[in-house]
Amino acid sequence: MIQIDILPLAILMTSMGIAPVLFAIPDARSRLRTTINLASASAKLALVIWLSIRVADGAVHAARLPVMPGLDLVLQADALSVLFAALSATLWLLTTIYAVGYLEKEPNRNRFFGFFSLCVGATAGLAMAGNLFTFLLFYEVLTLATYPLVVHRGTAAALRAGRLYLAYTLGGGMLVMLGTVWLWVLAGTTDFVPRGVLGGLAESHPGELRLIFVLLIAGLGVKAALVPLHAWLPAAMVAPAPVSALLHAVAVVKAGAFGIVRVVYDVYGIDTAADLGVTGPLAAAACVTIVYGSLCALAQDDLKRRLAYSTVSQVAYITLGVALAGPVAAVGGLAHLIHQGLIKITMFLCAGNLAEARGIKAVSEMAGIGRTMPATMLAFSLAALAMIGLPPLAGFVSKWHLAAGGIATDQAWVVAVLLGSSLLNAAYFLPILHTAWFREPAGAPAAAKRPIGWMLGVPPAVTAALVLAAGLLANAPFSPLGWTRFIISLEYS
Amino acid sequence: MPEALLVAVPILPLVLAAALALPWLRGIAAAAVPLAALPAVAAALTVPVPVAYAEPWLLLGAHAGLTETGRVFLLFTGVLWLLAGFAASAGTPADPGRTGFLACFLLAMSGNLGLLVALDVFSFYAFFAVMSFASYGLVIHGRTQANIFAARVYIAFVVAGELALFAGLALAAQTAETTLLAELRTAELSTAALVLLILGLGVKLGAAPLHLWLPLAHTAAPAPASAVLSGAMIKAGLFGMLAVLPLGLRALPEFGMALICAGMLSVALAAVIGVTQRNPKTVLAYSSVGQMGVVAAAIGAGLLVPEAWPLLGPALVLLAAHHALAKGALFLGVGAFAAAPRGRRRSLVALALAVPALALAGAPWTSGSAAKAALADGLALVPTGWGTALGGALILGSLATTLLMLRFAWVLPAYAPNAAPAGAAARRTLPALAATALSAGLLAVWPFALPAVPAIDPVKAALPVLGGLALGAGVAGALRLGRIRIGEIPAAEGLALVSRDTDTQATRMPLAIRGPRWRPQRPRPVWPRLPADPWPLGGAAALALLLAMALIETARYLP
Repeated sequence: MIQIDILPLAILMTSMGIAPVLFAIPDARSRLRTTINLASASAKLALVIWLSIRVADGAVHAARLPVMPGLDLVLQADALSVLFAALSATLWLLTTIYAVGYLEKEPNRNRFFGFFSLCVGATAGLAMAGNLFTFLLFYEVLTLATYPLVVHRGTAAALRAGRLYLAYTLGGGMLVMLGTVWLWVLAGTTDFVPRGVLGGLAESHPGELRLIFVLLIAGLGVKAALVPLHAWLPAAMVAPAPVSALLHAVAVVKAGAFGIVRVVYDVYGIDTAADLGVTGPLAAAACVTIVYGSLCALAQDDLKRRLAYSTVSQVAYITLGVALAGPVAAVGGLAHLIHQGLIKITMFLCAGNLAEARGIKAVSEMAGIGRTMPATMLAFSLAALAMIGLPPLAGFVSKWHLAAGGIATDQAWVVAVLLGSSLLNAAYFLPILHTAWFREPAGAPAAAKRPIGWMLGVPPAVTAALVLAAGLLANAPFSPLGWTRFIISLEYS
Repeated sequence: MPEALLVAVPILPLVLAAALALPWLRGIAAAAVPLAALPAVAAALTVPVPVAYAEPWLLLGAHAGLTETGRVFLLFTGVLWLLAGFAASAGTPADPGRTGFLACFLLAMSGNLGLLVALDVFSFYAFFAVMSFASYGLVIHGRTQANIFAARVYIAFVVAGELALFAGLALAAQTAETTLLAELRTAELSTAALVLLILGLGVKLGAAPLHLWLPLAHTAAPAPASAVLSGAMIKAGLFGMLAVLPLGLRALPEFGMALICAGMLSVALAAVIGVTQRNPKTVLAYSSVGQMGVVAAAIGAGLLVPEAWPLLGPALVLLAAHHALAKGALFLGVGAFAAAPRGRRRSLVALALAVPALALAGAPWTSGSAAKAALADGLALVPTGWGTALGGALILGSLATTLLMLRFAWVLPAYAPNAAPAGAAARRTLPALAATALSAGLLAVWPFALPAVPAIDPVKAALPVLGGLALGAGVAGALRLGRIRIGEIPAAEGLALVSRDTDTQATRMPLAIRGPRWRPQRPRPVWPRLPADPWPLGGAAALALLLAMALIETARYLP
């Protein structure tokens, strides 16, 4: 039965639908392209806000297209969808503004912006996917649409990073597909339902369900950059700054983490997953990733590489929060989906500005940059302190809930992991701040390559302000934390 | 109205710090620095206590208010920040790092004052963090090698302390199922939570063995910053302990004994190492370590014998206020002394400094003697054994402080900092004199704040001071007669054993004579460089393997 609901379809189409148009616009007509881009990004944000109000009121929005008996393409908006959709819609608007400024006068902008909106469209599809089959479809679209962005500059390093990216993500996609098919054969459905769809299968087929879980998590873990499946992410830092923002904050790694959340909560159900004994190993994998990513970040001098390893570590917080199998930790993990996105996009946009304005790419070149680019470094510093987990910034809110959740479920060792991670975060972020603010530049300061216009300056300032707001106003009803509490109350009610 | 005043306590410095970032407001904001602590003083004087407000949207549910203890802390902390702000704004406008220094100064002020009006763990921790991290900018301000080393040690201790505090508060809040500090105090906290809380707050308090950052940081920072670091900020550790530990409610004998031992160690270390210092600011810093040792020992006694707390608590608050004003006056005075041209004004400053120095030593009729008498009354309730030891430690502490003050007087005339702050001497002298006057007059106003100043026995108070004077004179005479020169023990002695960087101390002090070499020069240990990432393609291989296995497995199960 075909079921049509205009709101989810419209949200999908605001990004997917404009991609062909953007491909067709020649590079010279940049004003037209920018207008279309910004108009649809704004429209999408407005639609997502409307959707969130509807979902908060308890309205059901679902569009359904049968493919074959028992297998439908479903777009369905629940509270968790809104969380991810709101993140990607907000950051898409900001990243688009940034990208327009960043890529001024570069060639192949039609290709770039076309694939960019395809990526964001796939992310909206992932957010609103109503079953694993639909999720898988958009997961693969995202993989393919991101590749041209990673290799956008066409350099040898970019092509190499692109190959690595494809090797990992296509492999991961295969695993997800296998898991999905197997689950479908076994359970007859792959719908996302709060507290799982498995019913009595957990008693009759525990071994197979564990295997399927491993397949799905390994496949999703590639995009979520769980160690040892993370190597594509640091390599992909050769891509332009807006693409890094897309990879690290808006879409790609978040798609993996979001998928893990969906599988644990809405396919298996948290209680079933805990009964099967799969959440413990997942938590262990997350902890290994948290520590390993931070250790690698310590050794990097290249700013974007350091940030990339930091993402490896930080995104695992989301997985950890889910795997701890308790409501408080889950709130922390899901809130970190938003918080990490805001923090990391701020850092990558600032890193992009440093490279664009002064050609600074390494931490060791940043001496005294706080004096020459104070606004950029202020935003960066705020984000770095948030990542360490200092109040009143966003990262503190997630960390507090993860720690409290660990203690509440008698897994106080989590606090030790969090402390170790915070210590490592401090060890690789504070020296950057010291270098930028308190060290004198070694030689003559790097000459200004180009001015930072409002298009490059405003987006990181806005995201930095959001990092502050998400922490300072954490208890307000429409904060990321407030919304995740709403989601978790549905899962654990 | 009281609510608005309480909110303004941390917000005004914060707003001024933000205004410093905007070029067209910079001049006004810099000029307003001396006024930034005004709401704190006004709130402490006018807001009726106890008072509490909830702000549920802020953080994870913020509560602000003022307790009886908080009010006294807010008053002396606010006054000290006010005076230090006056002195800090005297820096030369040509100094390129001045705006950054003032911004860090205001942020630290906001944190320090804010944590005194915080009633819940989140706002307390947030303000505590703002204060601690912003002070990095105060310690590193001069940008010399000594500054950079001190700042590095400082930030390492801050990060460790913040992490311990975070874990401690998280554990405590979870077991007590509350986020209000006052309710944590009455709850049965786990040992792990208490250990972490005491460690986290102890780093700030600066009692041994967590004091290693203190002598370095308080020496390296400019005088107005040292005044608030030593006078106001280390009291935040005490305030936190008073807020969360079950003092007077429950006995925690193991913790009590540990704190008493740490306190006694601090007193002893401070005396022995402090008197060998050649920089007057380092001598003052070690005196702070010793005084905080007394504080730690008194808290330990309170944990050991809850019945003694009704006497010990007010005595500690008096000691904190006394130390804040006296130590603030001394540090501000050192800055004023260095800035003043040789002559009458310099002599005047030096003479004025004798007042807080005598107060610290505990000379009769000073605030120091009152605080110590009050403490002794409380310690008398501690049973023999620990009680005797504590009484002895208190007298030894007075003796040691007297020696340290003598040493301070001895090394002050030769003090000439590397970068002598030029000009605006009046703006540095006035706050120093004001702090001196307040320190001298503390006892006169104290009964209005807290109604308990014990009678001072002048003979009992004078004995350790006179003993210290005699001992100092005797040792100095003996050293001169025997032509013995004693080398300076490097500040942060524990670090000197492991770090090569303390060698830079020799360059820090103009008068330094190289002390005994503690150990042969060793090449700097090379930090083990991690490989960039050993698994660039290993993950892909693992993935392929997993895929193959999964295919085989799936084929087995498919119908």
